[in-house]
Amino acid sequence: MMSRRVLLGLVGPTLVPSASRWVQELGSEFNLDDSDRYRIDLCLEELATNLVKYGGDPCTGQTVEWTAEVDGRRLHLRQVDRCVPFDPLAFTPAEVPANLADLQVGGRGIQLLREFSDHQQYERVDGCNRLTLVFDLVQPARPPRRVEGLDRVAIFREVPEGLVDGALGGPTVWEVADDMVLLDRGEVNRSVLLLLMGELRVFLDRPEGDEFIAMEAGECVGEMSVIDDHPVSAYVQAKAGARLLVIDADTFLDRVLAIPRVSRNLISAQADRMRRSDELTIERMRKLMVMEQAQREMDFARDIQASLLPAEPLFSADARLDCVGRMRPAREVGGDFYDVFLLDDRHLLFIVADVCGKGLPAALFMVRAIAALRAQPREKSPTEQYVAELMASLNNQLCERNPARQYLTAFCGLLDLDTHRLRFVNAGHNPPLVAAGGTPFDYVREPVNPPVGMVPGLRYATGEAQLEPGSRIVVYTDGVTEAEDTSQGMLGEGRLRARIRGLTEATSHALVDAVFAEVESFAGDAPQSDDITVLVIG
Amino acid sequence: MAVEVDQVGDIRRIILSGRLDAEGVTEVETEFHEAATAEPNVIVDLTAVPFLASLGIRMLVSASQDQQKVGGKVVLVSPDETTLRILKTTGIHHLIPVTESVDEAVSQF
Repeated sequence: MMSRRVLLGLVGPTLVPSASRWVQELGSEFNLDDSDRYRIDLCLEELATNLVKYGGDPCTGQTVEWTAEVDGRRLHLRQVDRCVPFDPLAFTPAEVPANLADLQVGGRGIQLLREFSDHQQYERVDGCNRLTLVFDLVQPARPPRRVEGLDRVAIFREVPEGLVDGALGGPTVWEVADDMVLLDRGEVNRSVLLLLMGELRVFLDRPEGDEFIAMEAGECVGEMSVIDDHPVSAYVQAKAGARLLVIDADTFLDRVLAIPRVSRNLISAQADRMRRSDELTIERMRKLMVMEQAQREMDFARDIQASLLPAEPLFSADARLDCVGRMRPAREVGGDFYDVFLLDDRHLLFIVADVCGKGLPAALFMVRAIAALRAQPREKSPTEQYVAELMASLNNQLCERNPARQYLTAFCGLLDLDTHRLRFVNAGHNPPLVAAGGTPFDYVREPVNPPVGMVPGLRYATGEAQLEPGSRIVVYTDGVTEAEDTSQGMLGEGRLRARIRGLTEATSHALVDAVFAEVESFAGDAPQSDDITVLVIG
Repeated sequence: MAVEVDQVGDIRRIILSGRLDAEGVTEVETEFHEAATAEPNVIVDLTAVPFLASLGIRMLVSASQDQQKVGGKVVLVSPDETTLRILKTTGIHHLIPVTESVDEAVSQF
């Protein structure tokens, strides 16, 4: 009866020692004579060394398959690899020179292969090198013993040993030296793999992922694709050290499945497999649903945030005013906001703010800031200190119960529509661009104050500017000046001013468009990491 | 794989023990070369080497070539039957003396 042992390894540093260990196992399994063990060991050592040392880069990481078939007094050792075509039998070793100094040390391995095996054959088939070495053994090999671990195989549970052994005939045993994929999803499979030792991993999606079904000794794979003749439905990876019994499709279908108890065991194993696969699927579904739920909540938060901004168009019924605001959040929800409203018939209050951070935490702090701002007393005939007092009050409120130490920067202005006097507080915010009385837009930088929400009890310094009818104030957040292009350059204050400097006659709408157009032309396809907000008061 | 050094009269003897396969050679290559070329003439005892492959041959040849450069030589002693066949197959025995016993090896110098 023929017995077949296979070693699967990857070309790399562990190949030679793996091959060496495998030969020792073959030697004791088949009770080979010492001189035969030496010869086979030598040939395999030279074959493995050749692949590792001389196979070159394209060879590294490739699978090598060695098959030893033993039948009485003969042992066939076949190597199949996908390395560059190489026929060792066509190689003529250099003559041994007369002088030791002239001896080339390389090339002796192939000479040994040819001398220490009794027959050799090489062919190049299907992109593979296939080399067979035949050894005529000094003493007949011991007939194959019962494969170790068969008694643990689930599909053979309660099946008499004799029936199993009779059905299997000469067994084929694979040793897997390195982690490798044995079955690829979508490929046609013609054998059933029974795991005798070690571990197999079944990946539904892709090999090397986190989600896999681990299979232990006694389980089998490949039986479904053999039974229904469909391509393999998953990736099967063997961990280094795995040992498998391989049953070819015909033997499995005609002889193994013919044992009634095996069919029942197989169905029971399938049920177990299905349960585990279902668990994996349910877990994936659950994760997906949690993500979808989070997404819905983010969408909801975005809608709420948008609804908190003043409704556009602003003051459409008031001919004195031309105000336009626009915000584009970087993620679903952002930390920017703006607000603008009339305190009384002649006083316009406006604010643009940027909460530190992004996402839901920033948005929640923003909501808190808007609520606090809108709850401030709206004084008719506000005093000159109104804006500073408003910001001081907002600051104190936001400093309270702020364990995450969130804060915001803000530019808050109060415009007297009769006198065109602007009073403002800049709390750590970007300087606005102001065009008054036909002069080009320029930054108003002074005075500066700390951000809001950091230190309680602050007093804010108020700045003043005299505007005229038709003057425009462009307030924005750092999402504009810190917009990034694809090479991480920033748009910057200079470029922003240059873009709108001369647009002193433009409407507020045209100014907002111009700023966003500048950001878009600068950023190109680069994703923007910050909210972008522009409010133009005119 | 181990390398031991002793003296047989005036001659240095290196006793190798273990498999001279890819792994074994990697292990002792440097140590062996230093020991085998430290002074002219050396006996390399292969009694305890159960296995020799081409990388092992390369290691022995390289030491012999360096010995020759300083006017010395390497003599191999007591390889087992298959190991001797390997030395003969590769033609090495024509260039590096191989003897059955240490006494015979000493008489080669």
